[in-house]
Amino acid sequence: MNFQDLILTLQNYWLEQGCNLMQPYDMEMGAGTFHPSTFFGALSAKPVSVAYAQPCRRPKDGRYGENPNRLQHYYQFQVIIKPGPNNIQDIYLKSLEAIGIEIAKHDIRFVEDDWESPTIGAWGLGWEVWLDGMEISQFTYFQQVAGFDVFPISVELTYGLERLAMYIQDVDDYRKLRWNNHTLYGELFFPREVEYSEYNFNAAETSLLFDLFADYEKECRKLITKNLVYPAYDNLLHCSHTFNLLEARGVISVTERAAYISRIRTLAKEVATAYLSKYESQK
Amino acid sequence: MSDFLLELGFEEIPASQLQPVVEYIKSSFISLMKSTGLSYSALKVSSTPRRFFLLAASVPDKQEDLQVKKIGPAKNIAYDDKGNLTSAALGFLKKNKSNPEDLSIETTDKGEFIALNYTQKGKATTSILKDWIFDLIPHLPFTKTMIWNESRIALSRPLRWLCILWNEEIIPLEIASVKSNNISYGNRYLGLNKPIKVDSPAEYLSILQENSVLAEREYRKKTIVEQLDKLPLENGLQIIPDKQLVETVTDLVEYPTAVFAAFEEKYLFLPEKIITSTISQNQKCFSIQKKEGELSNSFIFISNGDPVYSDIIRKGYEKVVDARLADALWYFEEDTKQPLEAFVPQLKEVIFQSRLGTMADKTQRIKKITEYICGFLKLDNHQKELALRTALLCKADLVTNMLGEKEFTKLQGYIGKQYALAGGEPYEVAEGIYEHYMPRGPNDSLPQTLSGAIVAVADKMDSVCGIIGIGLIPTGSTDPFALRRAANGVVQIIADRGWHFNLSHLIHYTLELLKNYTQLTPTAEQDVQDFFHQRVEWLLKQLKLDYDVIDSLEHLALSDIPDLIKRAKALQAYRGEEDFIRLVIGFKRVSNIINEEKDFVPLQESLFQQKEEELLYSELLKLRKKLDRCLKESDYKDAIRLLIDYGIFIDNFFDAVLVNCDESELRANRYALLKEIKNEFLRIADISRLVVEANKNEN
Repeated sequence: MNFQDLILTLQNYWLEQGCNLMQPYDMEMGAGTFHPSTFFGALSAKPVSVAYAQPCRRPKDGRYGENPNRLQHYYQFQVIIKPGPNNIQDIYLKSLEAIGIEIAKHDIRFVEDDWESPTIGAWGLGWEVWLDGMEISQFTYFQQVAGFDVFPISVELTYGLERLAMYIQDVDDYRKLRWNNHTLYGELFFPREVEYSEYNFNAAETSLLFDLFADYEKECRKLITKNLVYPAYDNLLHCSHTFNLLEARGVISVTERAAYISRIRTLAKEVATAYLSKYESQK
Repeated sequence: MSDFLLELGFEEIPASQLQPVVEYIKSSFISLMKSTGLSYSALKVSSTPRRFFLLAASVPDKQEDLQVKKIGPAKNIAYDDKGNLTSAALGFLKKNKSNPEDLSIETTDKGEFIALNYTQKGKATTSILKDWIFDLIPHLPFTKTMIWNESRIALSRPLRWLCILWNEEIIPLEIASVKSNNISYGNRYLGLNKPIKVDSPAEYLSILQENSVLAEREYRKKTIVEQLDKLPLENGLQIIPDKQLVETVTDLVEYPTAVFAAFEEKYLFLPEKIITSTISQNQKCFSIQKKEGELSNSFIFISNGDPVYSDIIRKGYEKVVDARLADALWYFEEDTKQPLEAFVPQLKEVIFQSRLGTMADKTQRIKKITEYICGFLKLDNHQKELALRTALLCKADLVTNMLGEKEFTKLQGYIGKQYALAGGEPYEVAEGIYEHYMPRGPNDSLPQTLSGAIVAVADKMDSVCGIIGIGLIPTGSTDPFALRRAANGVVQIIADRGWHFNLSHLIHYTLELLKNYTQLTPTAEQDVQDFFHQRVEWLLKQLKLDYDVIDSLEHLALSDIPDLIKRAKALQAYRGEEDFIRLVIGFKRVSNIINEEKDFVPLQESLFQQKEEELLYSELLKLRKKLDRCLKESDYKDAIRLLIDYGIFIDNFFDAVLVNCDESELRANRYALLKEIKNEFLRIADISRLVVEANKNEN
C-alpha cells in the first residue's frame, strides 16, 4: 500500500465510522494533539468525532535525513472520539485490517504507556500499540487537558504513518517508502530533512527566536483579554514551535526548559479557561 | 454446592498492576467466605493482561440459618412515654443489624428487657456474592487509575466484560455499564469481537485454552520457562537468564511462544549493555550469548501471536531491534566525537536538587570530598590523580546524547565508563566512573577499584549530608533520594576497604563544604550522625551479629568501622563462655552501682582499706598497659581474655568489700575506683549492655 493510499484508506475507514474528516491544521506543531480539534474538542463537554492527517515537526529529531527511522517532519493520523465506544479497541484493530494488517497473523500488543503533554497540561492513560514489537500507534483516554479534568472522556488514537508504511511496504528506510507508484518519500522529503536539520541545529537565529517567543506569548495574552480564544491558541502554537526550535539549537538549559514549558502550560490554561467560559459556561 | 466463576474482562492492564489486584481479590474472597460462614473446596485466582478470574469449587448454595439471641437495654429505657423506640433501642437494633419487628421482651430476675430472639434465615450465596462484587470492583487496588464512562468508576483501564457464573447460571448484575454474562473473550489474534461462551466454571480454563489463552499465570510462566529451555540453539549459544524478565513477560502475554530472532551483526560494535538493555528493557526480549560469554547478535522474544505465523512476527521484532540499535549507534558516534571531559561544563544545566545546586556543583563537592579522603588514606600522587579524575568525570555521561534521550537512563555510569575508555582515559578511571554508583541495590557488589570506592563514598556522602542537611530526613516509608541505600553503601565500602577513618569527621567536613552552597538546618550534623549510626547498626546486623553485641558498641559506632566489626566479632565469639558470662555479671554490678552517680572524686590510693581494693586497683593499672597494646594491635580476642582474667578481682572485691559503706569519703573513693574500671572496659565495649542469663551454678 502506497503512503498516500495509507492516508486515504484511514480517512475512508474513519469517516465510515462517523468521524468528521478534517484537514491538517495550517500551523507548525509537534504532534496531532495540538490541532485545535483535539485541544478544544477534548476540553469541551460536547460529543466529538474527528479524524485527520497532521504533518508534525520535531526539530530535535532531525538527522540530516540520514537516519532511516527518524525525521524532523513526519505525518500522524489522528482520531478523537468522545465518548469512546465500548468496543473502541476493536474498531481500532479493524482499521489495521483496513490497511492490510491481518490481526490473525501478527502479535498485537497494547503496551502500557501513560501519555502526558506537559506543554498543554494534558495527560491520559493508555498504551502504545505494538505490531510485532514495533510501536505503531498511541492510544489514550484523556483525563485532563490544560489542567482541567475533562468529561466525557475522549479517546485519542494516533498512528505513526511512516513507521506503519515502512512495515506494510517492508522497507527499512523512510527514503524508500513509495509515496505512490511513481514517487518515493525520499524524493519528496530527503532534501527538506537535510535543509531543516541544518536550520534547526545551526542556522536558526536564536536571538530572533527568543524575541518571537516573548512576542507570541504577549500576543496570546492580549487576545485572551479580547476573548478571541482560537487566535490566542494559534499564538500558543507559535510559542510551542519556537521553543522546540530553541531547544534544538541547544540554547535552553534544563532549568530554563522547565520554565519555558511552564510558561506555555500557563497560556494553555488561560486559553482553556477563556474557551470554557465563552462556549461552555451554560453547563 | 455449586462452582463459582468471576471473570473481570479489561482492556490491557499494565503488567505491574496485575499481581497486587490478584492478591486483593483472593484475600477479599477468603475473608468473605469466613465472615459469612461459607466454604469452598478449591480456590484459584489469577490473571492475564486482559482479565482477572476467580474460580471457587463446591461453595454452599446458602448460608446456614442463624439463631440470633441478644438481650438489649431495659424496657423502660428502650421505649419512651409514647411507646416509641428510643435512640438506645435503635442503636441496639443497628448494632445487631435487626429490625423493630424482630424485637421481643425478655423477662429476667433483673426485670424486663428488649431482646432479639429469632432465627435468621441464611442468605442465598449468589446474593452475598453479588454484594461482594459490587463492593469489590470499585475498590480494586490499582495504583494509577482513570475514568472512561458515565459510571465514573476509576480503574487502571476500562472494564469491558463480566463473566459471572454460578454453575451454569449467570449471576445477573451490572456495574460500570457492563452487564454480567456467560461470555468471555479469547486471544486477540483469533479475530475481532468473537465472544466465546463459557458453559460452566469447571470448563472455564479449558475453554480459554482452546481459544489461545493460558489464563493461569503460574502455568503460563512454566510454559515460558520450558519453551526457553527447549528452544534449540546452535553453536553453543545460550540464553542469558533473566528471572525478572520472565515475570514481566508472563504478565504481557496470554499465549506464549518463544521465537528465535537476530539483529544485524554490525551493532555488536556497541557496548554490550546498550544492546542488552535495548533487547530486554525496551523490547522485553531475551539476550543470547556465545559459548565464550560474548554477546551474540541473536535474541528470543515471547510472541503472543499464532505460532503458525511466528516467521512473519519475527521479521517485525528484528526490524524494531535493528532500528533501536541504529539510534543507539548514532548517539554513540555523536557522543564519542569528543572526549568525555567535554561534557562536564554542561552539568551546570542539570539540577541535582533545587537547594543543593546543579550536577556541576555536586561534581565540585565530590572532588573536594575525594581529595579529603585521599589525604586521609595518605595516597600517593598518582593514585590521588586517578581518583580526582574519576570524580571530575563521574557524572559527565548524564548530559550525553545516549542518556539525554532518556532511552538508556538505567545505564548511567556504564555509558560514562564506555566513553571514558573510548576517549583513552586510564582503565582505573573508566572503571571508577562505572563503580561509583555501587552498590546499586541490596545485592550489588562493591567497587573493585580504589578510585571507584573513594568516589562512591564521596558521592554518597554528598547526597546523604546534603539532603538530610536541608531537612529532608527519610522516614520509614519515604526515602525518595534512596539515602538509606547510599549510606549503607558508604559503611559497606568503608568496612570492605578496611578504612580506619572516623566517619564523624567525614560528616563534619562534608557539611562544612555544603554550607558554601546552601543553608543547612541547625540540627544537620546530629541528624546525619544519627542516620549513619543506624546504618552502622544495619551493617553489623547484616554480619549476623547479635543486637546486644551491637548495643554494647554504640558509643564507638562512627569512630572506626572495620575496628568496630572486629570488636563485635570478638564479643560474639566469647559471649557463650562461662567465665565471660561471669565477667559480664560482675561488670553489670560495677556499672549499676555507679549508674546514678554524676560527680566523681579523684581516686586516692591512701583511702584503700582492704587488700581486695588495693588488688583491684593495682591489677587495673596492669590491665591498662596490656589493653594499650591490644588496642594498638586491634587484638580484641586478647583484650577480652584480659578482661576476663581481671574479672576475678572484681568478683573478689564485691565478695569482700561493701561499696555503699556509711563513711561517705570511703564510699566516694570506691565509686571513683569503679568508675575507672568502667572507663577501662568501655575502651573495648560496654559489656554491661549484653544480655546474659545468670549461670545455673550461681543459683
